[in-house]
Amino acid sequence: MVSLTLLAAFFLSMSVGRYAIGPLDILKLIAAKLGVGVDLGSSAAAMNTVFWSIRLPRTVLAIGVGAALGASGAVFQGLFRNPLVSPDILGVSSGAGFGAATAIMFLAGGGLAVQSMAFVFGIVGVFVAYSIAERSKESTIVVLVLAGIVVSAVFTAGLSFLKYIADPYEELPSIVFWTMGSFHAANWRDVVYSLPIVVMGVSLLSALGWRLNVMTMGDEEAMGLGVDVRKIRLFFIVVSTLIVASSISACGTIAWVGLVIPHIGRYLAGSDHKVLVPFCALLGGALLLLMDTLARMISTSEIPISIITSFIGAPFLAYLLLRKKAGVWYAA
Amino acid sequence: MRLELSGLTVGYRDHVVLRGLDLEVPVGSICALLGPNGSGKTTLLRNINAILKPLEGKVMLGGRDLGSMSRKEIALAMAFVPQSTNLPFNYTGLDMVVMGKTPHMSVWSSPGPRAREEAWEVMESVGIGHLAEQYYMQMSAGERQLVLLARAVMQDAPMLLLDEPTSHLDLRNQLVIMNMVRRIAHGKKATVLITLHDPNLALRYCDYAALLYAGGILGHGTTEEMLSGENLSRVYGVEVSCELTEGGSMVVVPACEPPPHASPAEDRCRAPSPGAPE
Repeated sequence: MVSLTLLAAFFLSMSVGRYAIGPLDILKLIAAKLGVGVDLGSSAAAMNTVFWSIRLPRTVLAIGVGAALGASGAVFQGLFRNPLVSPDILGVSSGAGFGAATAIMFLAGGGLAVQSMAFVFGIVGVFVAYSIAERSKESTIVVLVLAGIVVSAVFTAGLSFLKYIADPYEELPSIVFWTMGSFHAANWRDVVYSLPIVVMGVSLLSALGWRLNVMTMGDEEAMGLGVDVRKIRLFFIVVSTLIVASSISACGTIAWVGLVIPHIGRYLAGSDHKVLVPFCALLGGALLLLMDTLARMISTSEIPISIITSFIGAPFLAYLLLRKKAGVWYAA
Repeated sequence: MRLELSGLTVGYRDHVVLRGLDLEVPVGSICALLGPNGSGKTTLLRNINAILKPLEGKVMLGGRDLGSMSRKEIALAMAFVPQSTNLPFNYTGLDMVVMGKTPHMSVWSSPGPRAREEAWEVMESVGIGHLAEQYYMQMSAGERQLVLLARAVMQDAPMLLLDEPTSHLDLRNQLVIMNMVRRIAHGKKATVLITLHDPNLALRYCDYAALLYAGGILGHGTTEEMLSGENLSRVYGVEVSCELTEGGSMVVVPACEPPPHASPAEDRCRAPSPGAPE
């Protein structure tokens, strides 16, 4: 069902836009690429460029990022035993935001510099949070979350400072636009850098999904059941952080997806993380792609995607809360 | 599998909770661990379960030092039954029980239909086959405790550790749980250590008892010998006596009301033998 949604979203996203391509044309373009002789008509060259160089990388990237956020959101909520957690909780987004702003202001090199700095600082943020928690007297989950909040606060303050001193005509708009996320500049390079990590990461997370069920019993029970809790937790944090950092470094921070997708997923597919994690990856890919399609359709200029995801995601969560069936979802 | 504590001192970085414990639980027997609130039962249990590391001494399981075993090895040797608590996510009874299979599987695998079939059989044997499809968070406290017990049976370890399994349960469920524990211990030749608050349950179902008192162990031996009126009065700081019912069972009954807000050591109900307050 979700796979079908994803496929439909794919065709929709590929065809709509300022240069419309019909679904039939999409099949023809793919056939032509595969060497099957198909008549593409007069506008073949333009259509070919739009399709292969602009729209396809953008679509693929949106699916990948949605999958990363959805899967890691489900993993983090399970790992922290809390349905209010999103993948940002350990500071990956605020770290990435700070890194991107630093690159925009002080580094030449354009997109690639921004992407690398966002990736590196996203990972630095989580690393610092994890180290603080490890060094504390009681390395519990609560300490880890608090450390994440501390790191996020510091990086957010740093980002605010950078915004304050930024050139208001050139740098500030780029920073603001980055923190609201967008796929408008997506190209094949972004896809090549982030997609392999996302695909591998999501597969790894899904493979250990059942262990995550045991982890949601809490540390002591999981240990009693023979789980090396520290090692498994580190594994989940490292893999999730890698896929989230590589995703948002390609397109900027995206709000709400990592929080809402797992809720929808749990509502539809239940609490077994073995099923839930891959399910949330598919669902996240499909829904973020739809959101991105909306983002470029609503007005003549692009709308940053976080605006759309928040506008739709937040009320949707409220809707789920109101019609929650007892027991099927998580227990309060 | 025999459990042996030798010279065990447990506690936290800045304070010792229990010092110099020696205790032995023979194969196939049930040992009750009793003591007032704050006497260190939970801390001791967390050491035996290797959640905490002993400050001194050793926990030996089947002749092996717990400190030298991996998490998985420990879980294969010993199943832990926690008190039923709230879970953030909801699983069915069967999903919960099948988790007992965890130490028997590699990290990358998940239980297949055969493990689920086995889990269902275990639930039947514990008398809760009807809970397989029900959601854990919608179950009563007694049902949850039985599910956790079934999970420990699924874990198929020769040693069973239970943390106050009867504390939230009604009269009937207390008896159901204890009866089941006794069946497992005697049927599967499992060694059981169980913390309890009710000396009557211990007298009825356990072979041995150990009393924690004043930062140490008052002693251990058969339940009848250990849970005498004198010992219990001393440990809990309230005068109790043991009486024989017409049916021939030993019961513990309070002999007078404890004074309000008195700690066990300064109890004036019947001045017990002196002992350091905890």
